[in-house]
Amino acid sequence: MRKRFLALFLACSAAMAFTSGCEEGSAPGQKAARIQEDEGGSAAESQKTSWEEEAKGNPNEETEVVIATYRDAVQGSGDAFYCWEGTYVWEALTTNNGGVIEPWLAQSWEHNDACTEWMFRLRDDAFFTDGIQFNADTCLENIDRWTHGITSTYTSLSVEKSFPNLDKMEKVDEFTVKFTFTQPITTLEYILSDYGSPMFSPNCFDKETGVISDYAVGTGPYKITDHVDAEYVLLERNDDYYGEKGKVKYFRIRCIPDAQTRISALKAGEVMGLADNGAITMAGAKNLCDTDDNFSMDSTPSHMTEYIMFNCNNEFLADRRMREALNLATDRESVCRVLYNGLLEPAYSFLSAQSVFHLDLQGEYDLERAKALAREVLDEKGADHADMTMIIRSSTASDYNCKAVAEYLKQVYQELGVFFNIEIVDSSIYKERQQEGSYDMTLTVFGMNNGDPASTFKQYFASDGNSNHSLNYNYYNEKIDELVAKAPALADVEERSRIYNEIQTVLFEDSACIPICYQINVNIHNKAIEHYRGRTFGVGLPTISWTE
Amino acid sequence: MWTFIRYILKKIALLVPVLVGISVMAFALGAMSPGDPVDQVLNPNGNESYTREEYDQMSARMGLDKPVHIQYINWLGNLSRGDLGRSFFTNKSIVEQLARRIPISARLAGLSMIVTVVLGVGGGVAMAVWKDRFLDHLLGACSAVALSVPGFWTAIVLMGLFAEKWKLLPTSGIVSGTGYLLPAVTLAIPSTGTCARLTRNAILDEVGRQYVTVAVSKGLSRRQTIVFHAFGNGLIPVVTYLGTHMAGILGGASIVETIFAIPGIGSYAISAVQSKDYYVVQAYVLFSGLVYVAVNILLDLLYMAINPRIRRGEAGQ
Repeated sequence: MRKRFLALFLACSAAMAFTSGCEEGSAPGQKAARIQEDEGGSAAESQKTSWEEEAKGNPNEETEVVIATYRDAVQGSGDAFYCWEGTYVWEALTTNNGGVIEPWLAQSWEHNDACTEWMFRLRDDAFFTDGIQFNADTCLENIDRWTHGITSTYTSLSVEKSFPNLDKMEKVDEFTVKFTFTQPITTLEYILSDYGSPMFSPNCFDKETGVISDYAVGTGPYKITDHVDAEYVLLERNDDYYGEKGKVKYFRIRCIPDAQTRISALKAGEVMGLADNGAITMAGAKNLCDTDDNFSMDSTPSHMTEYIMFNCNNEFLADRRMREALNLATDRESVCRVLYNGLLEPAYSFLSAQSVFHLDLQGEYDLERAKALAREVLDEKGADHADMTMIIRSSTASDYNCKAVAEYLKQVYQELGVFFNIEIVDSSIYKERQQEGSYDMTLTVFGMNNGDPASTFKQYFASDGNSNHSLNYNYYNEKIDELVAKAPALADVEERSRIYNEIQTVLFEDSACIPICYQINVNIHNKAIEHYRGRTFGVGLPTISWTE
Repeated sequence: MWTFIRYILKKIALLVPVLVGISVMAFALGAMSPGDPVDQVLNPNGNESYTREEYDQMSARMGLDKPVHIQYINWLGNLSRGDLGRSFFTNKSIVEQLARRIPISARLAGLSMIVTVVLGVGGGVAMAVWKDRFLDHLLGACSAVALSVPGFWTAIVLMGLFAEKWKLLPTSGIVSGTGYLLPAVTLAIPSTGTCARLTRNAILDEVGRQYVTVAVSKGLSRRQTIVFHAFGNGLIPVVTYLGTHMAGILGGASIVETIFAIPGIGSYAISAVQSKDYYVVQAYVLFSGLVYVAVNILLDLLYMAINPRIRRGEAGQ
């Protein structure tokens, strides 16, 4: 009996020792993170208690705010950007704030009439968090870094992409840089926005390879103090920041890949908010806010739009009337009201409402006319009905409720004699299917490459557009080709805007694709924190504070 | 002793073709899986365009412009130097990632194993000892439920109760050691059910044998006979099951690791498959194959230690 008891005791001790041995090293400044490290204690209760205790002092200075994202906010040294823009560690020359290009590290810019010479006046009060001043030299060193072909999981970064047809770049004075191009470039400030021109301290990257050696050092309002791969990044406020300083001193951004677990962590009080696109579905956020008074939801417009893109090699879809029929049969109002809880706006223009070049077009829902148009096409081709395949990327289906939208469309299009089966496929297979052209329609969500839509129009709709070919949209419209070719050479914004309006009108009239709804970013947070507002990339960390 | 060493050497010699097979499979599975890694790198968000020249340059940089057999030879050459390459997608060293993630998966597997052994084997013995009594029926029903409940559902229920409702354990992550408990229990529940049933049946098989009758006739109680005689001899199927279970978790409990945000081998494999991270998938297949081989050798050794008949059989050969 005694032996058995001893064995049991030893087994329990081993299990406890094992568990406690699993403890990871703690990070600096992680007062509230210790919330989760209390032995067997409740993370949420501890956080609350910790916060309440700290509230006697100044919780913003002492207690970290934990936020969850679906992917690691720091990709690390191998990534050209090192970390997500939403960490507020690095800054770029310009930023796209809801479609409007604003100065960031560049205070102002100007170009000659031919748009072949651009001068950027840089801030003279910005310092990297290692103490080095941001100036013309460091700016040019950064641009030189982009020649090393460092890849990224966010978007590509290269001199060719950010400065197309660059002839030379030079320092004019301590805080002015000049770029000269062999071809006119009219929208450089758009191209350089955000991920187009990240600036890091020259001390943090290798001059030969461009690889960031340790932590990324930027000029932003926060700096990285600790990062555990695929777990969390700890951010500390940059107290020497030139602009308005962050209210909370410490942020921890945790990586929780599973959507249900993120919601559980929020409910349990382990995290105070969810950030990044697709962190929570609209229905999930609304449901949580409706059932629990501790949470608040805030939605901000996104530059993403949900579309149906066609493979115009399909004999039916090559006919404008069939595309128009599908367009007319798509009841966007119902989709937005029923499937997106009334949170989204119906889309008719190709460009998102967040684009400064957005044209407010209004379409109609007319099922009877749609049926007549579809019948015309089917009769001409001697077909009773059309069989098609719609492919959807699995991540899009889960993040944006696209599966429900596709099911709805399937039912509606059947009335037109268009029968399609829905195939939800993994990202790599999705691309392969597109490249092979083995699909007829795809329900997809995407935004523009940069603030200037010229490259996006060309990419998707010009007859020599890269994606138009490689992804087999196979769309051809002479008028679009002509307009797309004309736009990049126009230095005058008004004139360019007129061309973009015309392109949007032609795309709409030709039903080149079916924009369904303009997406939003849903941001949900615990009411223990306030001023939790969405931005183009994540949430505005500097404004967040603990609720008084 | 010499017999033992000879036995081990024989097993290791037999492993060579197995390892070659694993390496070929690992490479082929990565190379044949759908999707284009070059496109994945050049167009990470699916919304960018690139020229043919850029594609060719990247393809050459990634070593994918060469014929497949040359790629395989290069891969083997690097492997022999302990270099599994870098992730195409994140550019991180795969060996470093494995070195960081294997201990995490191993801790999870170890803890899950402890729960499985304590509850599964203990429950099985109890069911055998009190055969056809209330406890046997109760534990039998529990094991049937444990076996049939899907892991992801168990995870959601446990998370809901222990993290959301009672706030006793964290929902996810391993910032604290307690973060391992829910995933370990989630992994252990179905294996506990299987293990309990296996143990019960194995012991009851032994109970019908002659040596047990002899032990009982010598005056030992049924409980003593089962625990001290039948249990040891009936362990082989249980150990086999536990070994493969351990290898399965060590090789990556992908779903559970992803649900509980555990940065182990399984979640690494899932993200690699999603992003078509060629070299990582190959490394993962290779690793999980090696784990199974290693566990099988360990099992063979355990059989020898547990069962004298196997030991004698080897000696006789």
